Amino acid sequence: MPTIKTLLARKWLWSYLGAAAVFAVIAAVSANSFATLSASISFATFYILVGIGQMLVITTGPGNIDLSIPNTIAFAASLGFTLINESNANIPYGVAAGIAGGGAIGLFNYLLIRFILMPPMIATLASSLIVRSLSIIYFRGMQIKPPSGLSWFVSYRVGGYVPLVFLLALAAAAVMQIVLTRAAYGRYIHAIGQNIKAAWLCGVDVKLYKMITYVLSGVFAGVTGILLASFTSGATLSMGDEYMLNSIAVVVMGGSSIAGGDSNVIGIVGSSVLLYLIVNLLNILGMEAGLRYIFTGVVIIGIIFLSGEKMRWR
Amino acid sequence: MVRSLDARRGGLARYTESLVPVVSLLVVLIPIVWRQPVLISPSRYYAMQTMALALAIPIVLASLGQMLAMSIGEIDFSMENLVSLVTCVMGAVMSRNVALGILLLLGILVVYALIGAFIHLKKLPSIIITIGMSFVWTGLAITIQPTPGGNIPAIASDFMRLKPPWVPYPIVLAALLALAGHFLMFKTGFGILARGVGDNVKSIQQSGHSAIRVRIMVFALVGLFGIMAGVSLAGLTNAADPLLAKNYTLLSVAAVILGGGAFAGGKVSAAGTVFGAFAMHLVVHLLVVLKISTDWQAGVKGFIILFALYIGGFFKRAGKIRYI
Amino acid sequence: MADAFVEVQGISKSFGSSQALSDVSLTIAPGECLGLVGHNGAGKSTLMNVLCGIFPPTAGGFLLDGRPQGGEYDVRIANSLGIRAVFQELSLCLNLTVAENMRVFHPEFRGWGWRKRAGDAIMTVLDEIFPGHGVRPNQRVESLTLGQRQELEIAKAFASGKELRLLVLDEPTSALDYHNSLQLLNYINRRKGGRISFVYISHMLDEVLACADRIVVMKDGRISGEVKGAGATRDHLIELMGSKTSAAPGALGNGNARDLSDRPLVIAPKGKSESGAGRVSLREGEVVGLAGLAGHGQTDLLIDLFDWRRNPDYDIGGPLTFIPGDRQRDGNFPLWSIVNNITILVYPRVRRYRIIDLSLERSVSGRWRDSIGILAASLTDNILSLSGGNQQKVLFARCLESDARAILMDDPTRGVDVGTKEIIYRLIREESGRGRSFVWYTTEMDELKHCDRVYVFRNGAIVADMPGVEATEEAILRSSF
Repeated sequence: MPTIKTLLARKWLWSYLGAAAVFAVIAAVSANSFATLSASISFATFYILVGIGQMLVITTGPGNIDLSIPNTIAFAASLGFTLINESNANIPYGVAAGIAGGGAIGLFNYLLIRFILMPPMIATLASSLIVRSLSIIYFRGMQIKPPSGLSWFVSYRVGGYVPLVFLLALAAAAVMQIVLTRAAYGRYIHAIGQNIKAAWLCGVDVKLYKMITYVLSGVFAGVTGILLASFTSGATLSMGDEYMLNSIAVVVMGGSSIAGGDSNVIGIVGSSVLLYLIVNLLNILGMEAGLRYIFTGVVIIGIIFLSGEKMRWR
Repeated sequence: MVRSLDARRGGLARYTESLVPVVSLLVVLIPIVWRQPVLISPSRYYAMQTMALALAIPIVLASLGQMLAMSIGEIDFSMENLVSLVTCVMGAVMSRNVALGILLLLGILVVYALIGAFIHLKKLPSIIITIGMSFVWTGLAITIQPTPGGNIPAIASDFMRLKPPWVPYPIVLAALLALAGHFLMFKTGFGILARGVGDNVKSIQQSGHSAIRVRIMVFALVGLFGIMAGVSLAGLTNAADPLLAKNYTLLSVAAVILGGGAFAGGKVSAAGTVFGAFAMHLVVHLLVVLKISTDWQAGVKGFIILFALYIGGFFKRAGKIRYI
Repeated sequence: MADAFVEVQGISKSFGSSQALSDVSLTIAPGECLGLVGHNGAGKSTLMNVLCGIFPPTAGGFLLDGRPQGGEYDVRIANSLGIRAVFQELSLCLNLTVAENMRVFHPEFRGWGWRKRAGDAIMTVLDEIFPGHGVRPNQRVESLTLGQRQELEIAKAFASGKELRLLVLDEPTSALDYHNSLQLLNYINRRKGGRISFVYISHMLDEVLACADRIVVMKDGRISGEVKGAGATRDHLIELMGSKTSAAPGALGNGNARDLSDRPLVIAPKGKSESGAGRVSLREGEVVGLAGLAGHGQTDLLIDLFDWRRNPDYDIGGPLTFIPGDRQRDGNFPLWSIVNNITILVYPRVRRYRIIDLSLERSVSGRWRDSIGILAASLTDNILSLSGGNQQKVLFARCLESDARAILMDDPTRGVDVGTKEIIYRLIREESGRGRSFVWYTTEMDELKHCDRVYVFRNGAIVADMPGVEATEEAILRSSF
């Protein structure tokens, strides 16, 4: 029987408690609280997808953080939408191109880490800067409109409330949870994250699994880019900017260790929903933008504090 | 001990730490000087030089702050938000009520010291605390100065526009900062302890030093450098804007790494960091003199980081690297 | 003893539910060298940590120079009273120079010219203890060899401006080779009898016997015996430590040579050696020992063999695994359970439909727990909840469960208690009987008697090889120098 204490020791639980508490407040102050929840989880979908990719990278060990996610999102979306050119018939090509573009940036990140021996944060930062310039030059920073098919897809709600994309993100999270805990790939990246030397001495192909991880992070960012641009009526240059810090925040709030080797997909869902519920709650309460920011920051620190991330970041 | 697993370092590798910042600066400087020699010619083009270089100073200050955090193996992901907030304090508060403005800046210092204590006591990772703080700083900035504008006290802009003879002022400032930073990190007991904490906290504690004191002091200094960056940026631009220092966080991290520093802590170079910050700042001028579209500004920064670290890592690769 | 420098009075220390020390009393006289021996987890290091102020005792206390030390006692006070320690885990900051490290540890080096004064102080001591050490004061510690770092660590304790009264040496020779170890023991023998007291902790009983005036044996957090240094014997100490004497049965030992020449080669030299240096070959079921002074290329060879795809010198027939000696650094996955630590090499064997089956994992691990006695409350406990010896058993279980034909071992019994060593020797014997091969680097002469063939290293190359039966201590030492 899990006691309260062992339950609270599960670091991911705090984000769910936070989300439940915020929803309770919303229910108290707002007449149509479920509409608010529904809106929140639509937006949270993108945090979940980006967060999973960021989490995979973080899992591979201290210092591994993907800072290229924001510009990957913008690049993949711009690339995909340019190919689609607002024609529903071209959607498969555009989506494939967006995903491939994201994966290619991930691969490029890994190649920099592997062959130029750059620290991952600097490698992803450098490639992010390059990708940003590419986006500026090839897509001129214009807002590229989504095709109607994709717009319909991302705004479709099952039963009027539950966004379809959110359910798909949940499915992706479930699959990734199994992959992380019960598949060789997941065990290996955990091993690499905890002790890379020991992993190598166990015969783990460190390079291969790190490469897969960075590519996957790019792919998740690419998918997010396409969906997000469809949701927000177009791909823009700065559409991904808020995802740099938030993608890290949702991972750690969800109970994964920033030092790697210990991850948790379930928590990402909770913390993603929590972050948007807060924003919506403060909107309902009519708070100013400044206060919304402050409150978000306090909640991030508070959740980390309560869940007690104990590993040092290196 | 599996020593041979680590990247083997040859004799030349010892010098690569100082090679990276020099390479990064030369890559930018040589084309500029070649195409636009006025930038180094004596006093006739003084004003032009000052203009071109002055905006590097806030980046240098922010980078030195980041360097301090990275010296103990931490990082400040709220640097750009802090610097922007300080410009807002300067613009919206300082011009009307000096006492309140100074009080606010002191408050920021106290919060930074608390972050240091918090990180130590709760063993929380600085990266995530400062991500949280980045929202708080931005929130405060928007609250006190919702839109760009403001009225920067004359003393700040006057100080940033001093005109010493012969050498452009920004160069003087940067040299002084590099010296001060070097002295702090390598000549004082505090600097040695900070680098020691970055490498091996346990041994610092076991030798009877208080690691929490070191962390508090380091973070207070991070805050101080961030504040100085904000004040100088406000003085130079005469503007207060919650987004004024956009990209400073990553630029400062890049400058520290270009300066030969490492994320792992304990390894920093003040002069290198100043070089790195200048390299990042001068990219715009590089594009102008080479007549390249400024669309490439971000990309060229990326390529310079790549190139400098590639050259820097060149000698390390001489050894066998078993895994990355 | 009224004139004792240290008088420990009934100290107990517990960590959570585990009792590390119970009611330990002990005196150390000025100028005395006290040997402290016992198994891993016997409480030696805990006792010394209390004495050095790293953590307070749960109960009891101690007197220094007749003065009781209260609750405010900490590292700083211990240091100011002249108590210093050299622990197994090195305490140097690798990124700082030798002189800067001195400043960290001895704050009296301050003001103008501290760099020079600190450098001079450490150099003087190093020259005295380890002539020919080759350390320079402005060198970063990371550029020193492990041996030099250990030398520096020891010298640092002597090189303070303040007086040294008690020096605790916890396994000081683990990174030193034979020659430097002798230098250290000689130095202790020269210095003792003065004002400085020593506590010498080591698994190397011969070293303890060589320098201690009095030897205290600990077991399970208590003192189980005390003998005078002169006249004590190895066997007597081992008896007091509470284990069977380590006279291993001679299945592979001296005088029991096996003829394996008809077995197939697992590791074979390829082509002609360019430098003409000797190379290792390994037959199925063979146990090959790598000997020589510490750090003379044995570990490098093991790594080169393990990374065989990039090794042009050898033909490797079949998968290899690696058992490191430094568990914390090279072996453990510290956030994982015992089960997860064991099964990492054998996922294909515990999977169903590409998904790892938790119950299969547990049964594989349970089998090993029963056969080699991994002492754990539950196999799902964290690996770090185990003692060092049991962690090493987990690494053996991990590698032996795999289908590797040869196992490379990098001093696998480092810092492991005698009981675990016996189990490890038994495992190696059994597995080699089943056709598994071993390449075994060891720093303990004793262990070479388990080997069929011994290669001696000097300066990164193999300078001699001999059948196990001929590998006497004398023959190996002769080749090592």
